[in-house]
Amino acid sequence: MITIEHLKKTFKKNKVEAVKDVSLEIHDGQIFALLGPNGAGKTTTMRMLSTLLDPTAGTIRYDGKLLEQSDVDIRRRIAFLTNEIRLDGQFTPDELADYYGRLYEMTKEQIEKNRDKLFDYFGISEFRDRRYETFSTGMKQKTSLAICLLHDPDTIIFDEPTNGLDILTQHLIEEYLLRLKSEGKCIILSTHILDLVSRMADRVGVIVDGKSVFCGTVEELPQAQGVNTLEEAFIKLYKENHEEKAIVGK
Amino acid sequence: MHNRHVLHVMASEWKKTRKTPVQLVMMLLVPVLSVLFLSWGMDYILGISSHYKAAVFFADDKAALAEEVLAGEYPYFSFRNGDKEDAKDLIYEGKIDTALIVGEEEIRLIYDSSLLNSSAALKDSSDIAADLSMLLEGKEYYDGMQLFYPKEELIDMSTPMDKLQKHIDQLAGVVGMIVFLMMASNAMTISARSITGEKERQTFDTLVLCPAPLRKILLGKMLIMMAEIFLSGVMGVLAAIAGMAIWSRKNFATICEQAGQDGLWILVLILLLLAVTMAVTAIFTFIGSAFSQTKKASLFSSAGMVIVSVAAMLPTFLTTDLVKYIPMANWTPSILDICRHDIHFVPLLVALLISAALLCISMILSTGLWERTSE
Repeated sequence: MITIEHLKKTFKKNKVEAVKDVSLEIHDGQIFALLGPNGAGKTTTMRMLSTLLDPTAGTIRYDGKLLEQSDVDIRRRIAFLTNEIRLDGQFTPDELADYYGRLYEMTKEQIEKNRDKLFDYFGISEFRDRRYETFSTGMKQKTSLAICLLHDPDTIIFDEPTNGLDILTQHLIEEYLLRLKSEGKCIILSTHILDLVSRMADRVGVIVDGKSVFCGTVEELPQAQGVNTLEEAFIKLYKENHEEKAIVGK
Repeated sequence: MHNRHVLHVMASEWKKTRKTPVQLVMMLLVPVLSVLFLSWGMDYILGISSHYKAAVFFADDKAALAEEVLAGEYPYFSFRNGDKEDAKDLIYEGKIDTALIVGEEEIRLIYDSSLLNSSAALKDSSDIAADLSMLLEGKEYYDGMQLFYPKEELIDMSTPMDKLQKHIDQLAGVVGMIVFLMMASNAMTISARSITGEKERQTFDTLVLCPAPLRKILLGKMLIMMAEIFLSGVMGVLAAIAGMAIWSRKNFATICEQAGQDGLWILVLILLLLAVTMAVTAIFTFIGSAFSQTKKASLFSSAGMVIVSVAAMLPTFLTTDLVKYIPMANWTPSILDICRHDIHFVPLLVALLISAALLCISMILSTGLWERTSE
């Protein structure tokens, strides 16, 4: 289980307070969807969860262990994928699997077993000898996903995982996420697609202006807002919590 | 145990180099071609090559006598019987570059100052004229319109070894600078690809997410960078040696004789190149880590190139023994030491330690810069 308490992140460079106060509870064997408008602080929260960013304040605990005290151990257990993450274009999927597998301290046998399973599922096997840079967007995303999952992580953090992908690839990835969930893995998704949330997620967290304003099951969200759909609930939450910034000038 | 991370990164980086033909050419072929061309050019310009053709003409049929005495010392000269007109004809026809005309009372030197070979031959011609003036009982000789002083008034204190060392000094300085610039240029390219490129290509996050510590990943990248730079330096030095053996056999033989057969010169060259490799890696790793765009890193890499050039040129304006302790600056004095077989290992090791310290500082700073990248 992942427990996030009063998480805060201020970027020193531009003094932007990207995350002000986020508290969430994410359970194993479930898909957790993180919702929020653009600039709400979802990506920053995800990057802190994946150890890429250090929080300014607050705590993140993985099964009770503080993230900052055991970040290397936690990295062995998590996978993080965003549209921005790329792999070395000169390498083939086979070479990438070998490289990252070894950096994750996997044995040759483990690498081969997991690689073959993932490559077969995502249809990468037939392109395994081609350079990553020659792939289409969908192929790149599928390869990145396979490489990220190679070390068989317990927790998978996806920042808008199906953005820009065709229907078939989206479907393939969604199927795989459900399969991972059935294996007891914890999946955290950040997305704008409410349909994806209602179809896949068990629990949902909503962030508005860097603050978490809801954390509960997908069914609880509309109920708590007294509306019928997720969309209505999300809009209502946003309107209630969004601070209008004064526009200086005209 | 975790040193295997370093090895995996090194293997991966080497694979990337092998997959980039341009990088391989830059690393292996360009230093060889540059130094070979330069060795030829320098020998040509310095006039220590055997490219010129010169002749001594005797009006009084003494060619055979002069050849017997002087041919061994001046192998590029032919000795003929004839006069000034015969010599001019041969120069016009391009068959010889310079000529000495031994007349009844004087020795004249004919050459064409507009021709590089002719100018290069001038120095040896002056020497042979001086020897001839002694051989032919003190005749005066002329260089075109200018009257030369008689031989007995010219006192040249330099020995052939002094002359050779002067040439080597100039040659080592220029060849060294080219080799260093090649090594620096390779370091710049590798750093841009391997260190700044990770951030620019957005592959950095994937690396950070691995349980391998960033400093180990950076160390792996630095070690393979060092190996590649060292290899390009070795190629450059081998090309310089080959260049000298091809274009300047006589000097090469003398240097080989002086340097000795104990092979210590190889150790000196390795120590020199290692010091350069470490210093250059330190400079360019730091620059590469400070930026997330190769364009910006390239701009600041020019500053790194200036540091390398200045260090290589230090011996030309700093004549103290201190330069022997400075990485890169110690190149020319150490090459001269090799030629004299008078090798001092303490300055070489001090220079190596300075480079190693620079490398450690660069690694600490660069790791810090990398860790801040995610912010």
